[in-house]
Amino acid sequence: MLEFNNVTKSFDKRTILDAISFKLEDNRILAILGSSGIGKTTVLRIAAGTIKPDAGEVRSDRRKIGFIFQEPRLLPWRTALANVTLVLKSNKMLTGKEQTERAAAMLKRLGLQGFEHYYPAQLSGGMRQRVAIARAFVIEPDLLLLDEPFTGLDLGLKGSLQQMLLELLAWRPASMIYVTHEPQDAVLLADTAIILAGKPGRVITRLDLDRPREERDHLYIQEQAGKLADLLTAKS
Amino acid sequence: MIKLWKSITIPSYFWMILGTLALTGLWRLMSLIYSPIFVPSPGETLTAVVGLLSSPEAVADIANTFYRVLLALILLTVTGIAIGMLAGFNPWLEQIIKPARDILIAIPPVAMTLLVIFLFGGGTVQTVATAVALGFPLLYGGTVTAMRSVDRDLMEMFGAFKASKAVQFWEGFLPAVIYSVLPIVLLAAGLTVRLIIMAEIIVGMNTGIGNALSIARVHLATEEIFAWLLIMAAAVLIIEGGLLYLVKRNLLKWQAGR
Repeated sequence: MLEFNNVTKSFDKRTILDAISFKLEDNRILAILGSSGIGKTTVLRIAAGTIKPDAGEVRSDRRKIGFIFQEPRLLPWRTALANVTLVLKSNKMLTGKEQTERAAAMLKRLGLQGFEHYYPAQLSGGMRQRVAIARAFVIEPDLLLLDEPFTGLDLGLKGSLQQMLLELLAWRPASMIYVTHEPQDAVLLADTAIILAGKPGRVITRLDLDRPREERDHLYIQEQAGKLADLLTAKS
Repeated sequence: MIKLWKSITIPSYFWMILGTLALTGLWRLMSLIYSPIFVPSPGETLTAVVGLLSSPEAVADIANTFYRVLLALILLTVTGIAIGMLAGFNPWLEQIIKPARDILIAIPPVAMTLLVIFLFGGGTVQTVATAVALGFPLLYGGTVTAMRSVDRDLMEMFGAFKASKAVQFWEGFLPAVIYSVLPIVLLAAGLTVRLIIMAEIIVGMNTGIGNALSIARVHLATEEIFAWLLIMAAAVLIIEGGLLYLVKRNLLKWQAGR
């Protein structure tokens, strides 16, 4: 469980987030929508523990956190395999061999068998993002934080990566916060969506997507995405 | 005609060969104008190069200089990068080092060499130390700048995955800095050759290319001086080119796909 209670954050005396509250239950997906610069990424950074809130409380029993950024953020001087192994290096429970084996298995699961020894510059954009997904899942996370990871990818590639993500979550369930500015993506993936708006950013609305994900047809997705888009436009 | 000219693709090395030929032609012209005591011809110089390279003493001089260059370059690279990284992590240390660095940049190399002789006398250690002191600001400054330009997004990624400080340093900071500093190391290699030979001459070493140049000057053996200058230029090109080849082949494989 991850819970934000009245979390506030300022940078250089400018308040970015104001009294943000939400609760994320185990193995649920929360989508955060909002316009650019509203503080969505700041919420993820606070959830990851890389920055501390100025006020309010973050309660979390999540220990293993996987992060997928907008850009793959791979080390350019390391191969795909080394980039995935990298996040296991601080895990003293695993030997070097076990770390490599686990990373190789994860790359294989993501369809990157044969590309283990390729450098990021030798991979396509979609493949690089798959390496980043492998890096996030190899630690067997109990919380996944996604910061608009499919922005800039073509529709086909985006769809296949989203499908891959859902399959991975079915295989290894985890709670997830998915930051996006695309209402359709939120409806496709999330159980709950919240919208941040205003200056400073506040949670202005919450939408529970109660229909099971596998039963969400095109009509339902369009309808709910339309609702979210209207709310976004009205409050922005 | 213009169309035909535009359709011809001239390889870049053609212009380099043309430049070399023009320089040689100019040299030959000068040798015709001036006495051979002042400007020997390219042919005479080439004969002197062959003579030097077949003499064991000259080969020993080249080896001695090469040894000093290698030693200076290794010391320069290690100290420049290590102290530069420490200063990059600690802004106060950068401020402490700044006056010394500014002085080292401002002092002319010859004056520095004279100062070293005055304080510590002559010898291999002093020659190498002079080159290290003079080249240090280049490597140190490059490292501090590289530290500032380390990709913050990558560092945030390490933080998000709770990577240990050791992993962050060995996998993130160190490679980022080294890959940024590599071009400066290549530049320093050529500079070190020049500084070592200059120090050998001023310190008055009795081995090395600097020493051989001094002897040739005393004997007014101009063709030998020119021959040593050619050998020096070749040494700089070989060291820079060799290092570049090794670096590209072993360290920069990851840039191949770019």
